[in-house]
Amino acid sequence: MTTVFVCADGSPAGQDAAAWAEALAASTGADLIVDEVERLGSLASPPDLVVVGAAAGQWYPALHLDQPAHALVARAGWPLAVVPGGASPGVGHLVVGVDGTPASLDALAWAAGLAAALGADLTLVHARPTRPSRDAARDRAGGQAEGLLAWAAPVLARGGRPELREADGDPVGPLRRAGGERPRSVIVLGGRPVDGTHHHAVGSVGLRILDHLFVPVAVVPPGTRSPAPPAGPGAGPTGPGRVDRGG
Amino acid sequence: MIDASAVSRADPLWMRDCRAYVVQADLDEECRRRLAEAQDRLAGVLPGSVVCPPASLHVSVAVLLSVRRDYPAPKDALWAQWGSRWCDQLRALAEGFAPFELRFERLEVSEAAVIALAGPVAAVESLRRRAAALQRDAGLVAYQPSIVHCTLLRYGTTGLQLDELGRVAHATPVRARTVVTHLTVRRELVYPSVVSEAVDRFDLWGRLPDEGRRPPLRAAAR
Repeated sequence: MTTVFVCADGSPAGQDAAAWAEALAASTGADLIVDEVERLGSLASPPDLVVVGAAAGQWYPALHLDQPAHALVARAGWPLAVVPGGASPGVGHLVVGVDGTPASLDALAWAAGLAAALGADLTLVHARPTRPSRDAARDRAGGQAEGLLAWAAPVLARGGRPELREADGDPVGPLRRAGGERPRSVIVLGGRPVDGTHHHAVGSVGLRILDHLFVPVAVVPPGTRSPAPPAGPGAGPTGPGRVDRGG
Repeated sequence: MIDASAVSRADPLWMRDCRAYVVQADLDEECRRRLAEAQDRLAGVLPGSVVCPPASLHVSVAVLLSVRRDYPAPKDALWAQWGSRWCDQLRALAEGFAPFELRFERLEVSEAAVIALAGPVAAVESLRRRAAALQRDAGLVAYQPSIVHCTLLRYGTTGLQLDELGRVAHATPVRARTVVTHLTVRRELVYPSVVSEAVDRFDLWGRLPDEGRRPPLRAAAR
């Protein structure tokens, strides 16, 4: 991870988000940019993570896509972390929702890379759908446990030791429970491609978790690369840079 | 007040992708804050209820393509065919109205939702009549709401006993009001207006003298 961008809005929730992002940047050696959200579109290179604060009843989960700031974070192709007010700085545990879709596997790769960089715990949560779906045939073919193990195989191959959890039905409850069990947790979800079908990147599971936000939630767009360590002089956990650009 | 034996009906659309085109009145911050206070009180009474995010609270002034109805063609296709004409007609009507006030005076509990009920507004009734006529002209079944309300809560589970919720709602003062100076036509993407996009806007200029009229703002996005 080389760049973390924090959307500065002057609100208490925004300040908490900035503190959370600053701790993350310090831990990963990433540069931290604090600026107004509208400046995201003018960055020379896309950030590895965009962090916004969530004040209850304000932005999340309600999104008004005609507002530039909402559209930028809801439609852009970068990982987005929504941080609730009062969140403890730092990341000690990543909880990833996995269902075998390419989007969820990209989110898993991103979370696993971040967990490895931070020395954080990693928990994979899979909720078996109770109603038949297009995924059902695939699940039946391999069996759920085998599916989860197969999805986790790349993480295991790199020496990761994730906790694997399965549940039945709605994934929101199991994800919330896992996110609440250990301090400094982050829930990581795969985003959706923004196209003619989907006008925003956050799916219904993400929106429902954002609706009662109590730990940071990261939404990772499909195709996102795993966070890479910073390169070059001054990089690394002891030398992060910080750029405050107003707000 | 709701029947003592009433039970909830879970909303299958809650937080799901949807499609609708609706003329909405947005609420100001103070109004939303007051309604959010009522939401907090009611949600505490009934675990299993789901609270409409305060930032999404609104009043549906007129429904153009309903979130709960099926049509002979996809809603986006119907909108592409009729939306511009509908907006032009409704704008011409709306711009003749002066800004109006919505006063939420009481809460009502039904098997589907808890709503804050506002008094009738002549401008809203006129816009609904025009919208219904436009729907019929397009060969669609006309459908418009019959009350002026803001939905505060729905239910995540079927079968919840609603009698205690009804008592608390009846005893909860609302006293929320907002002045509506413009209307927004929204494409609803996630129910209930959790994710939406403004596609047009009607300013309520009132019957001002011609020299006092400002040019109407055009839609930011279409």
